[in-house]
Amino acid sequence: MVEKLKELFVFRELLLNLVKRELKVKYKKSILGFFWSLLNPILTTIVFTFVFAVLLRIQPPVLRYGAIFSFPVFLLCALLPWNFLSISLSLSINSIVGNGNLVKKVYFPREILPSSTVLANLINFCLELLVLFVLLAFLGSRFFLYLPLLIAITIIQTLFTIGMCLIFSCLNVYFRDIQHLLGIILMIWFYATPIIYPFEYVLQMSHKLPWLPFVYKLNPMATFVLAYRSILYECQPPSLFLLGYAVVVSLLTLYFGYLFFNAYEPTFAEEI
Amino acid sequence: MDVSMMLGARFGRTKDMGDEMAIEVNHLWKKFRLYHEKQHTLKYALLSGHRAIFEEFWALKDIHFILKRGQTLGIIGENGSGKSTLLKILARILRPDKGEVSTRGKVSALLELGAGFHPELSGRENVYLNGSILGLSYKEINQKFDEIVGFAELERFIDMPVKNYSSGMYMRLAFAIAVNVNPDILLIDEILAVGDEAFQRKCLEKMYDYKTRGKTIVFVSHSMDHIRNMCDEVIWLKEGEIQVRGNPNKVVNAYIQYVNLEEQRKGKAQQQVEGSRWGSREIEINRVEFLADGGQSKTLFETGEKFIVRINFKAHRKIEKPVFGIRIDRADGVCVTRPNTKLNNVFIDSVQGEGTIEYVVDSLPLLPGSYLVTAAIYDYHCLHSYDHHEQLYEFQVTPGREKESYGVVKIPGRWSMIEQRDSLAND
Ligand SMILES: Nc1ncnc2c1ncn2[C@@H]1O[C@H](COP(=O)(O)OP(=O)(O)OP(=O)(O)O)[C@@H](O)[C@H]1O
Ligand SMILES: [Mg+2]
Repeated sequence: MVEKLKELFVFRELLLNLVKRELKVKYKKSILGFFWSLLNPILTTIVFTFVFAVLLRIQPPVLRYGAIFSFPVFLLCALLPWNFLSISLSLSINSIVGNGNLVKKVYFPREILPSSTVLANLINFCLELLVLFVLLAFLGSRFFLYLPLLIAITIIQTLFTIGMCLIFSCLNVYFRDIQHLLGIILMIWFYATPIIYPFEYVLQMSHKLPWLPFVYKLNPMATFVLAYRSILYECQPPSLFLLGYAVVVSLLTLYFGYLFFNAYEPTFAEEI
Repeated sequence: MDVSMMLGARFGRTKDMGDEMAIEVNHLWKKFRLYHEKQHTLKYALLSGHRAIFEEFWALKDIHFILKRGQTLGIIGENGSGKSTLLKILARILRPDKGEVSTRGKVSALLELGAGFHPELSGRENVYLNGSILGLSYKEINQKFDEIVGFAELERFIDMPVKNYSSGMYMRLAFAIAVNVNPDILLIDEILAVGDEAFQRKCLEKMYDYKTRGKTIVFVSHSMDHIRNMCDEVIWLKEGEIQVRGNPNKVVNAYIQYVNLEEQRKGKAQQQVEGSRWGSREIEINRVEFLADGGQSKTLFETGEKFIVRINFKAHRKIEKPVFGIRIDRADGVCVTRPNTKLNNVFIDSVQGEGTIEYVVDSLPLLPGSYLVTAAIYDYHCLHSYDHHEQLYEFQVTPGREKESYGVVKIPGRWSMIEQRDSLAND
């Protein structure tokens, strides 16, 4: 592991350059490109707000920012971190196979490929958060109270995401149809995470299904989303117990992903 | 910091073998799986019920050698003999199944040029990206940037996306980056095969440059000329095994001899006969052979050796005043000579039945390369062809003891110094 970290250190510039490449290609080298990429979350928010808040009458427990803005802000606090995970996964799953030409012809630590996709998306995520901050500040929120904690959570989520991406990009070398499966997994995972509905709805079910909240919180994405939401939406510190759990799960995921990836990495060049 | 030293642990620890050793390959084996119906899908894995059937195939068998620092090793062999596989293992792209490899110093592999180029990015951005893929730091690339662009002669186009480059521009940029990596060990796999003449010359010059700077080079090529000129030592791989290893001339000659024999065995020469043969065939050429001094048939000659072309023919009726001729072309199409019996004042009244005619060269003036021979029999006015075998026969010339090796022929010239004034003494 120490060897690997040293090796990664030696190749850090490659990692940086790949991140840059990804961002440049994504934004087509313009500031406008970034705002263009905001279109997706904005449109999603509008559609979800109409369907879930207006038609299905899902309401956040506290209407902090008035009747109009509460649901969109409530949704965005969870949707942005979710998008970070789901976009990272869907893009990086192809990072080994898609860069096959490179993998077959040049030596470098292969971890760099999925990691660079995650990091590029992290930057994108942070920029989106900044835009959200502007909106929150405009609405008079005091989200900045726990900003250091928010940064810590983002870092932990990044580690978790890298772990997941290592596993899936590796699996994709051996099973090319895992990409289709990933779409289904992400869809189920999205609904199993309290993104479009408040966690309180789950708690309300606990008199019938007492184990439900517990099972819910096993999902690390649920703990992340709850933490982001309590800081950004409710301006409350998140539950430290849940955060501790998230740290443990994330580190385990990363470690397992690393082991898994490393076990199969030597044969990548001949399997692609 | 030295990358390969750090990776030592993963890859058979880099040993301290004294200052000399650059590459040590220790009883290396590499196998591939050949799947009969490989399906890279989960669906297949789950539904088919049985594990995928595959054969194991050893692409490299017990490869063992040590290369000293500053040496250039050439690797030759037929298609599929394992040359690229060996290079990829040296470059750590593939991992051996048995045995180990250790290298000293920074290794750089030129297996394919421009492998990491992104079409949407400009030449400039690709220089940085590709440079870092090849292990250069930002600072190093900054320093060498002008040199790279100058070498590629792309100053005007450097800010254009590389998708708009011509393939030649693309190659030049990729090569310019690659040669500026400045490794201790350079692995080159047939990249010379693609470029035009000028590009190849540039590549070779750069390689000489590396050589003179004491770098270690491993060089895979199908061009025997390049191998002969560049290498200190050559390995001939045959079906994954080292067939011969040793001094370039010896190994290359052995290899060429083998390839020629193999071609004859496969009856390839026979196949070609139908395609490039014409004539009315009242008189036929049965066989054309190249003979050496002692009369034995062979296809590999040295410059300065005795060289005989023997033509066996059969005339089905009496042929008046036939003209026998041959033509020798170099493999690249240059016609070297076109002698025939009429031009050489050998008058043949008539022939009937079987016979043999020889064209004898006491000292072959041809310089190293491949040559194609055409043999033909014509009527006296050289208008009607009885039998014409167009470029059906091939022989090679190797340098042997002769040092001269540029051009087509060695002409019988001499050097002599006529005058030499010691200008210092006169002043
Ligand atoms: N990833 C792979 N999976 C299965 N077989 C492979 C793989 N890579 C190479 N081989 C096989 O290994 C053998 C050696 O291949 P290699 O590319 O080293 O040949 P080579 O000597 O470089 O040939 P060439 O002169 O055509 O470049 C071939 O039979 C090839 O089919
Ligand atoms: Mg090859």
